[in-house]
Amino acid sequence: MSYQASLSKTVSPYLLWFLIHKSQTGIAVLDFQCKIAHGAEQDSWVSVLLVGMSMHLVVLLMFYVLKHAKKGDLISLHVQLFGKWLGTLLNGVFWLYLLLFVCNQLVTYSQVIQTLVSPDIPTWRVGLVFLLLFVYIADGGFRVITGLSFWFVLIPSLLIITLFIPLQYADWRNFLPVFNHALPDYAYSAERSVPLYMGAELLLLYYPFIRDNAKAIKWAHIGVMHSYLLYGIFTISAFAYYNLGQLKHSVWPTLGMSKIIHFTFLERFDYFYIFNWIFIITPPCCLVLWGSARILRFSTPLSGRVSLWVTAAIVFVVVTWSEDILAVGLLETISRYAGSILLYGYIPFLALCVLVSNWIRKPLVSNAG
Amino acid sequence: MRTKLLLGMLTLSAMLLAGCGNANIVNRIRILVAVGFDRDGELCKGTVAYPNYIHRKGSLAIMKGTGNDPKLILQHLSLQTPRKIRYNKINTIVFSREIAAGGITRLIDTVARDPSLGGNVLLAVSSCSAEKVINSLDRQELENSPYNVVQQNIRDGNVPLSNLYLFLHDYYSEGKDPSMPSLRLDAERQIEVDGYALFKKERLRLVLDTPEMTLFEILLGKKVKGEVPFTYKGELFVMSIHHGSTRLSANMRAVPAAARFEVRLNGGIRSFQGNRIAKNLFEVDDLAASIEHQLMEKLVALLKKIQANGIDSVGVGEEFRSVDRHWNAAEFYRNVYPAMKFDVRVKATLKNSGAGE
Repeated sequence: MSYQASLSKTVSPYLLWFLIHKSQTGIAVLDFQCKIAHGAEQDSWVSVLLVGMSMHLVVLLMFYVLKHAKKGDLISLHVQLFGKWLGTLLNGVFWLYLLLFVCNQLVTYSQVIQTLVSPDIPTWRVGLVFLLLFVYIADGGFRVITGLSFWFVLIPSLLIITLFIPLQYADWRNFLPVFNHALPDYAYSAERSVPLYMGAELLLLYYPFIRDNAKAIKWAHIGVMHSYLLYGIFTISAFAYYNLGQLKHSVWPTLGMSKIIHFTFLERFDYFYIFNWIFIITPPCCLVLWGSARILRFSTPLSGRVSLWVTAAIVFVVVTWSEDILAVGLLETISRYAGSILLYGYIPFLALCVLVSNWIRKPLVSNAG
Repeated sequence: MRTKLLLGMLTLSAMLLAGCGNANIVNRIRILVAVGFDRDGELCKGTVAYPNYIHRKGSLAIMKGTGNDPKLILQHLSLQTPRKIRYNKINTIVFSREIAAGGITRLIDTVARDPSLGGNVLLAVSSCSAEKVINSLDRQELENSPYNVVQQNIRDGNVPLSNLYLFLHDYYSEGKDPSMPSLRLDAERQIEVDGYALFKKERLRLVLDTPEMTLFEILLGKKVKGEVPFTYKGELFVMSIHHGSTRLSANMRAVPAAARFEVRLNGGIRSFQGNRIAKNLFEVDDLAASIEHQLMEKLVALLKKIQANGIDSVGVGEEFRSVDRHWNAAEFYRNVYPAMKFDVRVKATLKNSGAGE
């Protein structure tokens, strides 16, 4: 049986659906269509769905790995598998990855606000407001973040209905001819869709806080499915609404679709979309801050709250520094590579280590299985 | 401690968020609604209309500026005014034919990149100078703006569906050329739609007159409505199209390649002749056949006219692209499109219409 935190700190297994799904949604949903379009063009939806489906395998591997972790999370597993020094070092690397993740979300969202809403507002100010919000939520603990994730899945989902308006302009011929690309094109689009699914790896940190976690895997799979079906809707809507030339010239196609929505009493409906993204980036950022603080707490003598503030302070410094467009691009690229390596390289590697370790030695945890 | 922290955070956030405020009082700023661009030597002249709420109770006033780029024109306008200029509510952009013929890439790029403008903005070409079109709005009510004139006609089916989004869609398409309405001033200096301007990518190539505009709308098949005149037994009739559809299909195997348009129209005939269909039901087939034949000839003639000008405003290339796995735009428009045959089939269904005799 896998490790589980005390009952008062855990959440119901079905909430894993919302946690997994919500940790995967982020700023990448705004612009992934124009990035994937450079590869498999009108067939890119195939890559988006395939990468999404591959996440089922990643979830399986994560559950396998975590089931054998002493304390049910990656922090303990690292130390358990690689010893104190190397384990702590790897925890540090994972912590850096989490910082990168939250910085990328915040910096890109600041850029959206600066471009579309308030060009005069400096990045540090947007970053500070959101970081204070995230820290406040993360300070409430995992159960608060879970509750928030639940509601922040439901609220923005209402906006999906508004896709009906841009879809009145849809040209379904944009998808033709189907399956007209070579494997490397699909691979390129798949690689560019990975940021959509990044965030599921946070399960490596909050797994012990899921009640009956070993049996909760079906909810994780539902969460993953929810994500790729949603991204499928966004991909198909964007490719029906824009032709390839337009997509390649768009910066944020998801937001661009809302620009055709117009009411006599409301000139800029796209503002709803822009600020709706607060609901979308808040849960993953809070989860990341909570997880980063947890890593610091277990790897350093710092207390939980101090760890949270230290993490937030570092994020703030990076966000303030990443003012220019080159830095934003750099953050996005590093984050994408790091996420791809983690999901498709490091997690299978960990599973292999656990497997080998179980096979050649006695089981790592006496009470495992 | 926790309450203090929360209060501190709320106060700090409120202070920081106050910086996001963009206080603009509606009657103290100049909210541009229509812009016209003309060539002015090496520069571009911009004429803008805005509602003046202070001196004119909301009727429109005019300003003019010059510059190399829309942003520089705005800066020039700003230098002339004691009030802030905001252009988020621009709903009409008019280009003079001279500018449109020379290419509007620079202007369109600036407009397309601007996050302040929505996809519903009307783009139009003016037969006279754009300055005259915008000047005609001076002291007019907002209701008379070119946007409302064109929108009303789009709803009634007199003008094909057109806006900034659709223009950019066709502009960036490999297999279709963009188009937009053409405006002019009539003898009473009222703005009217006088045709439909067809572009070869960013350059104006051909302007259709109003009867051709209705036919063009039928070919596009997006919202088929309008009035189609035809003759029957030497008399003039007008078919009012209530609804219809056009299906475009590509025949790649034919030599030369052919594009087939299957047009289905439902409508009635109203004219001073009274309710002719009610008088003699046996005439319905003859009338329908007459419409179908005449309309087919007119549609083929229009397609050939567009083809002869080297443009593909209907999107025949887009249809071929969607069915040909090895489609190449350059090769298609060099070798295939100029020799293409058009097979137009019209099916008209007439309803008994007209209430009086």
